Amino acid sequence: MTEEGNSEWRGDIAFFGKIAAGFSHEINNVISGVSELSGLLTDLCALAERGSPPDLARLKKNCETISAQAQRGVTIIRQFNRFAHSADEPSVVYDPFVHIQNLVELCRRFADMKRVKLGLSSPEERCNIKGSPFQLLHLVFSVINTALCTVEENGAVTLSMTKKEGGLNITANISPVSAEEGLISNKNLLDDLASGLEGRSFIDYCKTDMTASVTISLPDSILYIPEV
Amino acid sequence: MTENLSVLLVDDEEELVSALRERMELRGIDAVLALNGQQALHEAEMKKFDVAVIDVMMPEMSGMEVMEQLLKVQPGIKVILLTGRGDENDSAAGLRMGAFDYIIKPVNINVLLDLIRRAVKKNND
Repeated sequence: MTEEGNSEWRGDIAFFGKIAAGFSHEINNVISGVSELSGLLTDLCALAERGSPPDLARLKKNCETISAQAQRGVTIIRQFNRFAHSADEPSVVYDPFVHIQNLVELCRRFADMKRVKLGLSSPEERCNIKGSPFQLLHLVFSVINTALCTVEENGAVTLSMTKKEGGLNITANISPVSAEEGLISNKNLLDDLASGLEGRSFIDYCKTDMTASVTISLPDSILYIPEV
Repeated sequence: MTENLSVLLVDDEEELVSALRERMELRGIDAVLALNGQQALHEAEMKKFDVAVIDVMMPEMSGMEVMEQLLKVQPGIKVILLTGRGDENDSAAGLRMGAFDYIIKPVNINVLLDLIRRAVKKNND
């Protein structure tokens, strides 16, 4: 492996590791909740065995909460599973919105930790593209990360996807901006990741007084148009 | 049996912390929950606690920030940090900042209660 390929591979592993760490943290919280709730049920059963009449409403409420926690766990696992499968094939036809939406859900806790609202607006037009979903997600994650380092506390990072003549734009709007250095220090990384995507993808930066945006421009050659 | 202990539980995972509070109350311990740092500090201004059990990873204020502020409001309070498995480095930093100990989620209530009692005993010694 060349030095460049090696560093790219390490970057991919680090990205996968960050998502996996976030996932395991979330799932540990779910399991901890279920563990505590089932412990509480055990305590209530032990009380009933000692003659205290069981509080059925309380038992029912606990069972419902366990069920809701299990559902939360299933959702988190499904999100991580979809993400993990994005690395299966080097090139497939896929809907980028589905993968980006999933990534945003997996990144929500990172944003919460920085007291930032992370959102994704629905595109006016959906499309399919060709290539590696994992590589695109790595780039989008790096953009989100850059945005989170740049946005002010209690601010917002909103992603959007726009199909346009000549390709597809994925934009992160950052409002308000606190540390412009975040944009500058990550510029080389984002440019490298963009140039590694199929076609001639590039990153466009825009900054006003209070807001900034980072746009991933994917060329039209990446768009998948089914043969009729 | 009622134990003369008052515990402040701080975690943004509401289901977990509510169940933990109920289990402590069933064991005769006076437990109050807070879902974030601001709530925790508010509770600490209203009431004196022997021990605070604080989750390290919380949005808004981190567990470390909560501990730092809490120790200013109630210098005598003993802090036990609640952590996920990967946060041991944070917990070690927490010990250096004045936490009594830390415990890894999911918690065994008997281990946690033992830790709480040891923390109170150390305070009384």
